[in-house]
Amino acid sequence: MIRHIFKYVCLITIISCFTACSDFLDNAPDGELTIEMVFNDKTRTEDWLAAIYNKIPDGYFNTIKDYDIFGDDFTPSAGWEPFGWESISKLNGNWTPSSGGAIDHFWNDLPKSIRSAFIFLKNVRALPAQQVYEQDAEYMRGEARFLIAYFYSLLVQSYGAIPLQTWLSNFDDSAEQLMIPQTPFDEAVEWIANELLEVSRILPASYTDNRKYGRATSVSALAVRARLMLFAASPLVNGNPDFKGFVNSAGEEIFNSVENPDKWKDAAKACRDLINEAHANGYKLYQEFNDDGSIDPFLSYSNAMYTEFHQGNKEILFVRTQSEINEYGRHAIPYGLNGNGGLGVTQSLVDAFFMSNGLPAIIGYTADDKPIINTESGYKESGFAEDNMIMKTKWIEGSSNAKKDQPENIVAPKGVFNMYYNREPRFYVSVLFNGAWLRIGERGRILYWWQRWYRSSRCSLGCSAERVSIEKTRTPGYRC
Amino acid sequence: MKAKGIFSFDYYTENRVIRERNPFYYFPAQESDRDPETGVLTLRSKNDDGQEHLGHKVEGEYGNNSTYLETNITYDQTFGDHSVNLLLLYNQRDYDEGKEVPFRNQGFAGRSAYIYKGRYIAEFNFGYNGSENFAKGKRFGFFPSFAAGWIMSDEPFMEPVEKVIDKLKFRASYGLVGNDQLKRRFAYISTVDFVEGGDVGKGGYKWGTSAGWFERTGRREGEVGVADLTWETVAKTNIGIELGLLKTVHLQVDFFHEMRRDIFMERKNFPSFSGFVKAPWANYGKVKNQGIDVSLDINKQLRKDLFIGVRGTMTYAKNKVIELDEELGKIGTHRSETGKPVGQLFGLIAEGLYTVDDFKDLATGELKEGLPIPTFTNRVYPGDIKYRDLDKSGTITVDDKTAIGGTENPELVYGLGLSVMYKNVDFGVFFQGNGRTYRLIGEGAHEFLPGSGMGRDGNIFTNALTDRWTEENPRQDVFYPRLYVGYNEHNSQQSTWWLRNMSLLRLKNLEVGYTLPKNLIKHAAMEHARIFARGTNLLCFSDFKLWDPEVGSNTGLKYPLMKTFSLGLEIRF
Repeated sequence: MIRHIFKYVCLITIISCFTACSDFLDNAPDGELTIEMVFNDKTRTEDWLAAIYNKIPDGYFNTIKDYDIFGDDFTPSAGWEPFGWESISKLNGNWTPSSGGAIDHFWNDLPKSIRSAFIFLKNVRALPAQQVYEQDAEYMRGEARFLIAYFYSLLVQSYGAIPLQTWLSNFDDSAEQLMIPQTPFDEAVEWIANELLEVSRILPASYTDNRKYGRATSVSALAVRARLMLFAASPLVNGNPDFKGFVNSAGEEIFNSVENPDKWKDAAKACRDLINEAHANGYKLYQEFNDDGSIDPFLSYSNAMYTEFHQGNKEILFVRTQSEINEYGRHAIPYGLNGNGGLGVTQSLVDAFFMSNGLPAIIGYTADDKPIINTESGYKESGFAEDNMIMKTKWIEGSSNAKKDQPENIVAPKGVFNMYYNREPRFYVSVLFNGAWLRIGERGRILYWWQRWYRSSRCSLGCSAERVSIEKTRTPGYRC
Repeated sequence: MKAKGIFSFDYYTENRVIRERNPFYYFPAQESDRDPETGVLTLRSKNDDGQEHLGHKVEGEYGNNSTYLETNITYDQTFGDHSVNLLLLYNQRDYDEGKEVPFRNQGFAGRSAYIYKGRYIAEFNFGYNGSENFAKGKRFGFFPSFAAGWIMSDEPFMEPVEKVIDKLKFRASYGLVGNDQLKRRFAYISTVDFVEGGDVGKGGYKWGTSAGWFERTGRREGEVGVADLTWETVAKTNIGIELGLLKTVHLQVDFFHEMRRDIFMERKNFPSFSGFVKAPWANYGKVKNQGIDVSLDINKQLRKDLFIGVRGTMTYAKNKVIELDEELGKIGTHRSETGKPVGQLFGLIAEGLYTVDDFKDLATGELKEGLPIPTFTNRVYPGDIKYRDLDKSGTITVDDKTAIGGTENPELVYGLGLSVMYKNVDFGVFFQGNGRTYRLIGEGAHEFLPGSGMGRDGNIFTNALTDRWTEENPRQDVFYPRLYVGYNEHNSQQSTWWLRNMSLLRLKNLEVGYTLPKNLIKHAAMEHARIFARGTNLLCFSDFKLWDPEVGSNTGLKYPLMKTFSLGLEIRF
C-alpha cells in the first residue's frame, strides 16, 4: 500500500515539475535597452547622435598617417620605419589594397556610422514632454543628413568608386539588395552635393545656444559641398584618361573620360553660395590688428588656430570640438624637448612660402630638381643673416626677447641661414627651422639640427638643413 | 521499477586575502660606501617604495551557486531470454555566477535497451532538451538515437570455430546530438551598445565651447537579433566490428560519419559597406566529418617465461566544409573554402625563383612577354619567388591564392607499442606518429625575413649565409630567396615556398627493466623489486628538420618537447 502511494507521489512530482517549470527557460534579461526605448528618450537620442559625430575623423592619426609620403609636403622620419611608420617602404611600392593605415578606417568605420545615421533618421521624433519640439527634431534630422553626406564625401574623395547606399538596409535583405555595384563618380557627387544643398536650407547658420557649437550648420553643409565640387572638377577625376575602361559590375563607366570644363563653373558657384551664406550670417576672416590699425599678419594667422568661436573667431566654418592634438604634438616636437621629433615638412613645402615682400622665392625646378630662384625676390641660399629680422607684430614666438607690449618684435634671430630670412609671416608661424627659437613652457630654446644624434640614428626630417650641404635636403623622394 | 529524485544545492565562494610586501633593493656596495673611520659599509637603496611590514589586501571575491533537480524512473526486468532496461529522466539546472541572469537548462532523457538471448542488442535513446538561449517555441530539441548490436560469436552455428574466432561482434548506431552553447547568449535579442573607443569616455561627443560643454556618451546598434535561432545538430553514424582471434588477437574497427548542420556562424555575404556594426549571425553552416578508427591488440604468452604484446591504434578522419556562406565571388573558384577541410591552408603556388632570363630589362624590372606581373611591390628582381597566375589575369595578386597542402590538424594519428617479457627482463617501446599535417612556416615569412614587425628587424637562420639565392650562385633549391634590406611584401606572401609537411613518427617511450628474483630480495623483507631505465621522446623521424614539428608553432619560438632519461628502482615492502 505504502509502496503504491509512494510510486504515485513520485509520478505526480515529476509531472508537476514539468508543468510548473515550463517557463523555467524564459530567462532572457528583459531590462535591456532597445531601439524603441532609445528614441523615446531625449538623452538617449542625443547619445545616438553623439556616436555618429564621434566618427568624424580626428586629425593626423585618423586621416593621413601612413599615406603622408604620397604628398609632397609632409612626412614621418625614415628612421621610424621599424616602428610601423611607413615612408620608404610605401615609396618602394610595398603596399596593397589591404595595407591598412588611417584611410582604412574610412572604409571600415564610416559605413557603420552612416547606417547609424539612417537608423536615426528613421526613428527620431519630437518628444514634447521632454522639451524636444518639432523644430528640434527637424534640426537633428538635418544634422544626420549632413553627417551622412559628409562621410560619403570623405569616402568618395578617398576611394573614388564607392557603392553609394542611400537607404537603410535590413539584415534579412537578400544578397542582391545588399551588394550594390559601385556608383559612377559623378552620380555620387551629384547626390551628395544635392543633399548638402537641401540640408543647408533646413539647418540654421549658427546656434544661439553656445553649448550647441559644433553641430552641423547650413554654412558647414555648404562648405563641405564647395570642397567636394572643387575636387570633382580637378583633372584627377574630371576627364582622366587613365580611368577609361574602369567599369562597375553593371558595366557602367565609373569616371567620365571626357573633361567637362563646366565643372569648374559649378565649383565656383558652390564657393560663391558658401561665401554669400557665410557673410550674411556673421562669418568673416579672422584678423588681429596692430596699435596703429594695420593688420598684424603673424597674429591673425597664428591665433586663427587658437581662438574659439565664442571668443570672436568667425572664420571657422565646421569644427570638430575635440581633437587629440597632444599625440600629434608629441610626435612633431623635436627630440630633446619632450617630443619625438619624427614628423616634419619637406623642402618643397618650405620652398613654396613667399618672401616678406610678397614675391615667390622659388618659381620652379630644373630637370635635375635644382630650384630656380626668383632673383627679384631677394631669396638667397648662402650666407647667414647679419641682423635680427624685426617686424611690426605682437607675435612673441620668434625670440626670447619678444614681448607683447612692444609694437615691433624679432621674428627671426641674427645668424640664421639666409634661406629662412625675410620670409613671409606664415613661414615663421608654421615652420621650425635650424636656428629658430621655440618656446617650451616658461622658457624656450634655440634649436639646431644635426644629421645624426650620438645616441641613435633617428634624425628629424623637419626642415633639417644640415649646415654643410644644401643639396642633401633636396632629395627627390620628398617631392612626389 | 524504481523511482529516484535528487535535489542538490551547491554553493561555492572564493575570496582572497593578499599579504605581501615589496622588499628594499640595494645597489652593490663599492669601496666609496665604506665609512673610512668605522669601516662599515652603508647600503644605498634602489627603491623608495619598499616596506618592512606586510600589507593587507582583500580581493577577488567570487561566488556561484547551482541548483539541480533530477527525477528518474528505471525499470529492469528479465523474462527468460529477454532482458529489458528502461530509464526515463527529467532534470533541470540553474547556475548563478553573478552574471546578469543565471544559466538554466532543462530536459528529458530516456533510454531503453533490449537484449535477446544475450547476443541480439537493440537500444533506443532520446533526449528532449531545452535551452534558454533560444526564443520561445524554438527552445526544445528532440535528439533520438538508435543502436543495434549482434554478437555473432555467441551464435550456436559459430561454436565449431569458437577456438579460432573467440569474439565477433557487429554494431551500428545512428543518432542526433544538439549543441546550444553558441558563442553568444540570447542571440535572438537585438541590443543597443555603447560605442567603444573615441574621445569622450564611451565614444560620445562634446559640443560647445570652453565656456560650456554639452557632452553625451555614444550609443549605436549592437548585435542584430537572430530570429530563427535554434539548436546546432550533429547526425552521427557509427559502424563497428570487433574481432577476437585465438584469444590472442583483438581487432576493433569503427567507421564514423558525422554531419553537422545549422552551425551558428557569422554571415559572410554581408558587405562591410552596408554598415552593420556586427555581422549578423545565423544557423547556417554545415560540416561533414568521416573517418575510421582501428585498434589492434595482440597478447601472447609464448612460453612460460616469454610474453609478447603488441598494440596498435590508428585514426584517420577527414572533414569537409559543406556550407559556410562563402562570398559570392569566391565560391566555385580556386579560392573557395567550401568543399575543403576546416582549417585548410591557403596560399600562392610558387614555381621557383626568377632567373636573369625572365627579365627583358633588368634595370627597370620589366619581365619578358607572357610572364604575369606581380603586384605586391613596384618591381621584382632575379631571385624573388615566381608565383603562378591561377586566375589568368596577367597579374599576381591575392586572388591567385588557392588551397595548398592541407590542414594544421593532422588527419592521421597512429601509435604502435610493443612489450616483451622474458624471464625477469621486461622491455617496452611505444611509437606515436601523425600524418597529413602541414604548416606555413614563418607566418608568411614575416618572422624569417628582415624588416618586419614593430621594433624587431626579423630573425634569420644561420643557414642564410649559405642556403640562399645569390647572384653569383643562382640556385633554385635554396631555403631563402633573394635577401634584401627591409620588408618585402612579395617574398613574404604565404605560398608553397614556405609550406612544410609536419608529419612525424616519434619514439615516445622506451623502457627496459629487470625484476630482481624473489629469493634474492626476501632476505631484505622486500616483496618486489625492479630496476628500470626509461627514456621518453628519444627520437623523432620527420621530413621537417628545423624544429620539433609537434611544438605547434609556425616560427619555432616555443620550448621544444623534453627528452628525458631516467633510471629507477621500484620496491614494494
